Amino acid sequence: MNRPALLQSLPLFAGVPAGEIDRLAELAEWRSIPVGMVLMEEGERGDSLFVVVEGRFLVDVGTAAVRQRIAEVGPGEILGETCLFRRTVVRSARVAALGPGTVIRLGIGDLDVLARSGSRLPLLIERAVLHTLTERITRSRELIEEVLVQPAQQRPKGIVQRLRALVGLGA
Amino acid sequence: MTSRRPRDVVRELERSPYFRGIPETLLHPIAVHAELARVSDGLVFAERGSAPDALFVVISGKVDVLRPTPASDEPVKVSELQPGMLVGHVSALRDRPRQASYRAQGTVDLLKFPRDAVKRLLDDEGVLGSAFRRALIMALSNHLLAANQKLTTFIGDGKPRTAKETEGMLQELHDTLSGVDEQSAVSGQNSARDEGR
Repeated sequence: MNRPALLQSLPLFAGVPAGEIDRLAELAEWRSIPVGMVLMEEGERGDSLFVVVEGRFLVDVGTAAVRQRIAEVGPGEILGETCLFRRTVVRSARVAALGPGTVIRLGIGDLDVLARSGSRLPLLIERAVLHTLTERITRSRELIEEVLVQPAQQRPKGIVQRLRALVGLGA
Repeated sequence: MTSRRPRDVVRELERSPYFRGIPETLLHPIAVHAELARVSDGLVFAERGSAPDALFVVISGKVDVLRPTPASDEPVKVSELQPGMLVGHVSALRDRPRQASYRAQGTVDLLKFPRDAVKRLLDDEGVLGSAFRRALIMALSNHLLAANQKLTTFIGDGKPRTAKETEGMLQELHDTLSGVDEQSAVSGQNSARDEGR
């Protein structure tokens, strides 16, 4: 598939006119990620988001010696959105390719260029980010509520790690 | 509740950390969608379980956050919101009933964005809608960053935790995810914005 077709196949961009997809495909920085390569390093400063186009990526946190897996993400998912809009935030997790993958990188300037050209893509991306953040917050709160109503002895193990996976993905 | 002019609303929006970075030329049309409201001491202005009919920005005074806890089926005060914080934004974005009640602690001034106005701003395809959406993204990402900081600290020292300590942390985390207790993250954001000017 060519690049516009790859983008068009993602649910995130469903229904976007072909001309706008072509513009995004030209504007975005495309990265081919070989297996094992680190896309984002925990603790580094970030100013952009990534959209996974192909492949699967492992999100983990920890030290060089001990890594803790917190999530796995695939096509259509957004990574690092908090850094895009806040610009001065450090990455909260490491993201590495589980197999060969492709991502596009977008900076805030790219969104502004698209907005000035009358594109609906910034609207779609901002809405997707709002939805993602709202869902993470809601799922985290619901998880906490579910756990807190149970007697201490019956509470599931690993709650802290599950919460870390939910709240730590954005940056 | 009483309403005032858009110019007053702009001045108040500029004081909120989430709207501060937005140019005045955009704040004005956003302000048209909001009204200033004064709430008397003790009044619950947004009730748990009610429809998210509005999003509020706390302008002055403090707001008590009330919800049930594991120890009490009746809503009790679990935290309070400071000026600049948002009320009801997560419920408004999800279009689901409110998860907590909000009560004025003394006289409280609020900016109220009715549900229809929130929807219009969220659906706006131009720079106005973008500014509003990004203000909300800032607020939500603040909640998550503050929660992540708390979890990292909790996990990071490697100490074994009692069930009671974990429960306390989880309750605190719940409030953080609701937008409470995030002043440090907000301050950090403002410093960053100031640097960028």
